[in-house]
Amino acid sequence: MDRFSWTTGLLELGETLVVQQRGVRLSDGEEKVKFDSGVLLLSTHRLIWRDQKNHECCIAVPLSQIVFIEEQAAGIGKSAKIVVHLHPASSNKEPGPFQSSKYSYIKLSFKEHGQIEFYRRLSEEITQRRWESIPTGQAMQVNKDSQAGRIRAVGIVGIERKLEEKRKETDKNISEAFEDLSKLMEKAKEMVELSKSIANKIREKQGDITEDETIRFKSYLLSMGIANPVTRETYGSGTQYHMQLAKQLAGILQTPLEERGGIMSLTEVYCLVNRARGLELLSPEDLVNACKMLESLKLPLRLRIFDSGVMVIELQSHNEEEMVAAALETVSEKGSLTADEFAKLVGMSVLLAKERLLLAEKMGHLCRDDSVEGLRFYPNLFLTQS
Amino acid sequence: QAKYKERGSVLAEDQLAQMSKQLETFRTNLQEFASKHKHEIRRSPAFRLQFQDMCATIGVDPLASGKGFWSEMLGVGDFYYELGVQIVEVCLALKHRNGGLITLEELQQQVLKGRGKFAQDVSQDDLLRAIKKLKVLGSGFGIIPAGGTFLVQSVPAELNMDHTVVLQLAEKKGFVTVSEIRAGLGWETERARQVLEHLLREGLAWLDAQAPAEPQFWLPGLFSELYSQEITPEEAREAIP
Repeated sequence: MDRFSWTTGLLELGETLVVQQRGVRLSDGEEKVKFDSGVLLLSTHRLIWRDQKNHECCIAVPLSQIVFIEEQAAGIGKSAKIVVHLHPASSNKEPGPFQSSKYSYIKLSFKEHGQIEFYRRLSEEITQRRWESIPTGQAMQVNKDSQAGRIRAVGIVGIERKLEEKRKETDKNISEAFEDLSKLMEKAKEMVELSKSIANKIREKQGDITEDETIRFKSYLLSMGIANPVTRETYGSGTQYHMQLAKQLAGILQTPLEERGGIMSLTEVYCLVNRARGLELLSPEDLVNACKMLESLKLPLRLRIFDSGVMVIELQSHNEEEMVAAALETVSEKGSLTADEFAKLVGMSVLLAKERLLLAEKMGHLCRDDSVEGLRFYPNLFLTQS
Repeated sequence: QAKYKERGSVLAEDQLAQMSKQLETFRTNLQEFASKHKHEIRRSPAFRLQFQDMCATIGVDPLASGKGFWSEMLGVGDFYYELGVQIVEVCLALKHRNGGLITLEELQQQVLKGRGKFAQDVSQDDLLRAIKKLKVLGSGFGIIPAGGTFLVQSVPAELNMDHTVVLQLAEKKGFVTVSEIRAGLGWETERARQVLEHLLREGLAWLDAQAPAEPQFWLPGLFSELYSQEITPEEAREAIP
């Protein structure tokens, strides 16, 4: 930590901010220091840290002081860190918080995440060394003396070697994970090939499989996440799972639908259901597939797809066309309405309000006035007054 | 048995039985993998990305169903499906300001804020994958490449190639003029005006008719000064070094 200097924190002319991150703690090697909670800024020339509570407390170190950096993954109760190895401080360095330090590296703890992006940007800046080509307003502590730099580097070779070993071990853990992943994927690939072969045989009728077996096949595809080779759908539609899900949904959605005038967009349903579940959430495709089965299972809800592609769930008892008549009355009372205004009046989402007005228009009850001020609907006087 | 040998080829039913067995084995392998590396997937966007890419290469969609092995055992499903919910909520909250168009950067910032200090990191790749799944729900989610990043559309506004191209042009400064479209895209005035008027109608653009040289069409979804409205005065001071 003795490589840092006090600074105002203002960027020099020619210095550009690259990235910043809140919630960063500095450590002097393995030891905690008082720089507990701050904003870390990376510029083209320096690494700057400013205390979040006391903005006067601001320190910086030139990027040229950095030998190399490494990532330290997060652990239980520990934030992810970046370890920054530094050259010894140059003799003409501006005064800073520490006169000396027994460590040649510091640690940046990312208590509020952001380490991945920061590491990436810091690596880039160290590689590009933009501070060498862009002169700045104030004299920077640039390590121009490359000859001396080389001699200094030799001095910390022992430390570097130890760190290299430690890095290799971390790398080994990661590479083991990747190796295991590759092996797993090989096996998954075999499953994909097999399913393709089965689908082909079904198509070419090489051996009849029963309806039961078809359902089994679809559920295997679902488990593996393999697109159904016959229909090209990326889900095993019409599986037992989706049937059960459809029935569950009918139960869960009855009350929410009644509270919302009998109709909800599929996106609203997705959020509602998943928020309630908390765990073992539904995928969007699960939801769509289950809803597609509502009608055939004779449940009291149905899926409806508007011309625009918007998908909704309606109570069977809900009649959108009847709602259109009510909408016409509302619009007539006010003279004209936009989807936003109508939504506010009636207490609906803008998405569904717009669909209702569009449906009314399609049925001939409303006319549109499409201008730069927005889309406005009027009662269709051509129809009523002709 | 003899009949089977006569045919000389394996029947679909036999392969199905084979698949059933292999599936069980795979399930065990995945279970083992999960016990060793499950936390890696949830914690590391880099590892997640690798995982997703490999799945795509072999033709497997780990996010297709919450009932899939991947989702159940690795917990990838819950991660992305929950992210989907958070994305929907953020877009809904900001829609009145940006008309349903937001940069991927801002979306990431807002989602991370909502997730709180102790939640896992979320990368832009994670967001894009979650959004691709949300499209299936039909409420207008879309991804528009622009200026090396992406714009996220969250309302079913019809945007064709012309609209998209103008958005991409506007991405640099957050606004665009008819002259800039003529110069940058080589279009006639009428074509430029039609596109801009469509964006106004859809609530994605605002008109500054009092701009010095000519009217400027601003896209709230694109400029970053707007989202500083949500930060505290303290944060605002910190944002300026």
